[in-house]
Amino acid sequence: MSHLGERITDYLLDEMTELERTQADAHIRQCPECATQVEGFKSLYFRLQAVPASEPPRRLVFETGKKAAPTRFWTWLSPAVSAVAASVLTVIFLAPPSTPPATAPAPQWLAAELDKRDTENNNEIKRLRSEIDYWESQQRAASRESFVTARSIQLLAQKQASLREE
Amino acid sequence: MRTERHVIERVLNGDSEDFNLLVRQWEKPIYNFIFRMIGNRDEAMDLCQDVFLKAFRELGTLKDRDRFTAWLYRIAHNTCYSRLRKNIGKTWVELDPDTGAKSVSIENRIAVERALLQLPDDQREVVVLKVYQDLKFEEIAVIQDAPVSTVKSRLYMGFEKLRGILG
Repeated sequence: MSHLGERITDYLLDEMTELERTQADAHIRQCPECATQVEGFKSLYFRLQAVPASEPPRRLVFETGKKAAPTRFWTWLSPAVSAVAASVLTVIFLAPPSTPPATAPAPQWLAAELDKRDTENNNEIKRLRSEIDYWESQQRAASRESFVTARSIQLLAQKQASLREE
Repeated sequence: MRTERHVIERVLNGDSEDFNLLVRQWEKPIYNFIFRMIGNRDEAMDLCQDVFLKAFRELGTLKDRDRFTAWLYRIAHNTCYSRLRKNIGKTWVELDPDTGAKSVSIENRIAVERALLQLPDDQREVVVLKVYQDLKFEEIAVIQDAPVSTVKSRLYMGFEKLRGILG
């Protein structure tokens, strides 16, 4: 078998058939050049993978017009703003509706309008609950990251101090 | 648990707010993909917004609902390349140390992010999509509009260059 060449990425990422892999393994055992290259690629792959994904600095929220106007718009909300907005909206939508006077029955159009608003409010409540879940998980992640960052800074400072002493 | 296909159907049937479910699921991967391609966090955020806006507008053109992932990344690819073309001649952008550092060393993070930005765009894209987004070669081929063999070559060359840069 010839050198692995570009097939080395297939080998590394486990994208070979069983037969190809067996042949590649056999080749690597007797080819120091390919063995070194495989080790180099493996170590590079792990080094790349060790860099975690970043959290987006803001959140994208898609909103549709709640009233008759069909305007749709997009907004980027900072975590703080959206958290405040969420809590305000929660208060608005979770507040008990004012009870209409129990005299005359509500006209049909009003009943339909109220039903529509109920549906909208229920959807909004559902959405806001998921928002709250999301921000709570973000808060937990941020706390964890703050701790790790603080620790990294501390370790760096210690390292710097020991280097100075040397 | 709603499937992606089901969510897409709902959005197309007028339940626009459900698009937020797709945004929630894909916002972080798409943001990270763009950031690793262009190296600037603020701009990555703005471009990420453009990607989802475009995706919402063009959702009706997605014929095979099960290929949403490649379709969305294709939009992100076009968005990134359009931005990269405007900046031909510029070398890599200075990166600010990120706030998302975990147990990984900050030095490694910065070194890797800088090294990625030294690769040619097409190689960097394959490396990012394969290593970080874990896409299949076939999906990357669709995104880059290139044969699978070309995609594999780009990954190999990208890895070789990164080894040279990172040592």
